[in-house]
Amino acid sequence: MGVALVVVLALLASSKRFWRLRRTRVGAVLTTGGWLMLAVGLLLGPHGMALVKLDEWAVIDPLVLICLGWVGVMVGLGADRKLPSMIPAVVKKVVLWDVSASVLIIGAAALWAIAQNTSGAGAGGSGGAAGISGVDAVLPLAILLGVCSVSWSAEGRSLTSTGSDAEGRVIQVLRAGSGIGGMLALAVYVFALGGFVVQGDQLINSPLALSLELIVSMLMAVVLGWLGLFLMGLAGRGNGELLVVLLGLVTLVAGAAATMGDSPLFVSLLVGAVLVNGPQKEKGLTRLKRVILEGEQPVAKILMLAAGLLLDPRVCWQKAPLAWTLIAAILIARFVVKLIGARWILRRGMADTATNNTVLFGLMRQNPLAIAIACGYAISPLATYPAAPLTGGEVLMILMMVGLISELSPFIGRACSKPPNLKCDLNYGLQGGDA
Amino acid sequence: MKVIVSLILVTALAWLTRWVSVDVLNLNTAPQIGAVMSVGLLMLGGWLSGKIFERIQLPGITGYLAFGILVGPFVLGIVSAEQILPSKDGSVAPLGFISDLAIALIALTAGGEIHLSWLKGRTKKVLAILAMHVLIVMACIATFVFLTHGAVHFLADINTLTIAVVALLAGVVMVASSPAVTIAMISDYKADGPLSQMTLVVTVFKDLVLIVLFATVMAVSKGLLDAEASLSGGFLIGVAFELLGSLAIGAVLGLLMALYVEKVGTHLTFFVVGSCLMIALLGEHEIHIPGLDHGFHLEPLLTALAAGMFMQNVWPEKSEPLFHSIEATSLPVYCLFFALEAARIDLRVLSSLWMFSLALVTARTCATWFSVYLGMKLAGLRDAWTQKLWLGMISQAGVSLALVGLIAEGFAETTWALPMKETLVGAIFISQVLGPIGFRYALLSSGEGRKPDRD
Repeated sequence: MGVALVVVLALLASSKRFWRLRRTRVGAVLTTGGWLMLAVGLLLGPHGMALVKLDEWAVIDPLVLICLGWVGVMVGLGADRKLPSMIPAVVKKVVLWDVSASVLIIGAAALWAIAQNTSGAGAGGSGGAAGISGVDAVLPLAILLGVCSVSWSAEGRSLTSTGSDAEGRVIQVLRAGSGIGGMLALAVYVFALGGFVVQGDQLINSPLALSLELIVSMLMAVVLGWLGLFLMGLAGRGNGELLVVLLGLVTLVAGAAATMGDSPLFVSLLVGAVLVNGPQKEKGLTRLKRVILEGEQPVAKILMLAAGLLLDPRVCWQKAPLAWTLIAAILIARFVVKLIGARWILRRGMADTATNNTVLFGLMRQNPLAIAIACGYAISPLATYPAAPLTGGEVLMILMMVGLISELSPFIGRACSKPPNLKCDLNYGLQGGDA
Repeated sequence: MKVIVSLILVTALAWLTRWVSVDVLNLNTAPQIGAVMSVGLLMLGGWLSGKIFERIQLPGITGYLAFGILVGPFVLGIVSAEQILPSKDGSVAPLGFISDLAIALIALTAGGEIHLSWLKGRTKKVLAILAMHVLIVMACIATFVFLTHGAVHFLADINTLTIAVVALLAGVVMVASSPAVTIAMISDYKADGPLSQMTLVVTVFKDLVLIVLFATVMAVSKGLLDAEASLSGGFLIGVAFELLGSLAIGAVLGLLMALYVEKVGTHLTFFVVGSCLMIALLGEHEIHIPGLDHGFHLEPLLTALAAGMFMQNVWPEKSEPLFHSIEATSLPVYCLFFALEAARIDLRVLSSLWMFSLALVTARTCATWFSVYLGMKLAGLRDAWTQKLWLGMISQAGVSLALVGLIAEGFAETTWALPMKETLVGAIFISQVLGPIGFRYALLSSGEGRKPDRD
């Protein structure tokens, strides 16, 4: 019954009445970032009121997977081939810096934090001759945490409310950077983690697995993408048939990717990209986009609720040294990486007012896609093999803490900015404030 | 040709993925993860097969069924047994809930199709057809099994009383027909008229009667065969609670659903799926009543049926957008449900006992024709469409399979229960394939349905 409750809550949270919460800054952060749903999921889950029982996990995992497939196709549909030419050079440079620095610097910080708090075989040591052990065994987790730190939230309402031209430019940079950064993060995730597979209770790093996964995933994405174009034409005008094509593609792609140990988000993103760049840009694609966008809110809410169910808060006290060192390391490394990105934007003269300076604190905030990537990881064998230093639920908890703390940065930034942003505060006061 | 190539591509990709992950990389993928790929495969592949079958003048449903058998564990094995069949420890298969969800959606649609205003003045006619059909088919099949038991190896050496019980149980199971197939066909062929309405009403109400009849026959049979198990009044009270409870909860859900449409009114497709999921999961929970030895389950079919009827007949205008969404959601669910049901069919069983199964289907078909003919006479119906009503009663699916499962479970210690189950499953499978072909002919030749033209 808990699963049905999750779906009903997600639907209610997708309603227009709930959407009105976005009118306030805190409301915008909580709803757009998905934190509210995450908290509700945590409350419903095994570590809260236990309304969703363990025997319902068999339904939760597929639900997460289908949502990831849906989100992936939706993001992929935005990857039009004309996109690179439409993006300003500064955004490309900032995003490239952000992706490489986040994966390397934040990943390294995470690796250091894990290595400091796990010892010997505990550091992912899988025992056995064939499996990898020691620091190598915690690499997948460190890479994941680095990848999840790539990019930032595209939500702009909590950063500014004046809507002036200068502000608009920075917000656009944030939005464009957030979207492209998310796509690149997924690509890095697949290439970096594709070789790590769990066989029996051992973690191995196999170039064969990486090659096969990439070949089959690419083949699947290209074939199903092209097939999707043909099937949309075959579906005719009926909504039922379009739904068969969409749901069939999403579940087949996400399921196949997960079966291969690949990222369901990435492979379905590729399918979306093939669909949008295919030769037949016909009415079917417009209708498909409409249906997929209509589902955006409920799917995102279900995904966040499911992430909340998967969360394991016990890591904060049962593995306190590891958890808090990791959170601190990620936050510090994140601050450094994003600060450099913000300075770069400032140097290009894109932000020349005090308001824009505070808007740049938005770079600190975590991209909601990070939780989706972590959800995919949490239900994959990489998160469940016996010697993994953190379970999927624990990783999700750490990312939630990082995300929540980093959401505070624009508020802190605004409070600290001199002179006080009267225009912004006035608007804020008129809207009813945080309380 | 393009459709066939697409079907081959979809199947080949799924097969390749499974082969690489299981046989080459030896990955530890949980069954529920693999099940998601199976959902996509069954949905897309079933739909494409349906398209191909429609082009050769066969119902789309037969295409969904054929594809399910092809990719199921007993032929290509892309959809594995652990994904669709309950495990030995009794735990539910990852795709197990899909059937309940689909049945709930189908019943919700059926409820929405039943207009009480249509039934006014026709109640006696419906009851006459229903009564004749149930009694004659049950009597004919029971007699057939009783008379031919000597030729069937697993019934040859058991006593007369047991044979009588087995015959009676087989009779009850063979009475059931499939509301799911009826609804899917009516929806697929956009059929509207007295034939489709009467078939739907009789099929749906027959399910209500069958649940009571089956519970009574099971209780009597247990009392007759097992000296220690007396005929339990509590069991029958439990059944009454199951029926009335399901109808009452269904009405409440119908009220809540109508309220959602009025007050929220967004994302109705998701809402429909969520509601059906809720109804399906409600059916999984055992409810205990103080004073009764054992608990009871709500029947998802009845609960959803009541919800649909309640909305259609109490708030038709408020519920209209919801029924439009149900219509859009139906096709993916039908493709998935029928392909999944077919994937579960164990072809080894059919190959070993097919002759007796076929004989049962033949007897059932003749009895169905005769019973409906007599029922029509009794009801005073002589229109042209009445000649074809019996064709809508041939299909069998989920309910019949559930009843067979309960028989096998209830008499697990006997020597006849398992082979009898396999024989009946074989017969249900044959009816499942032949039924839609007959009903398609009935709908098209009566002029009530038109061939799917989705362009």
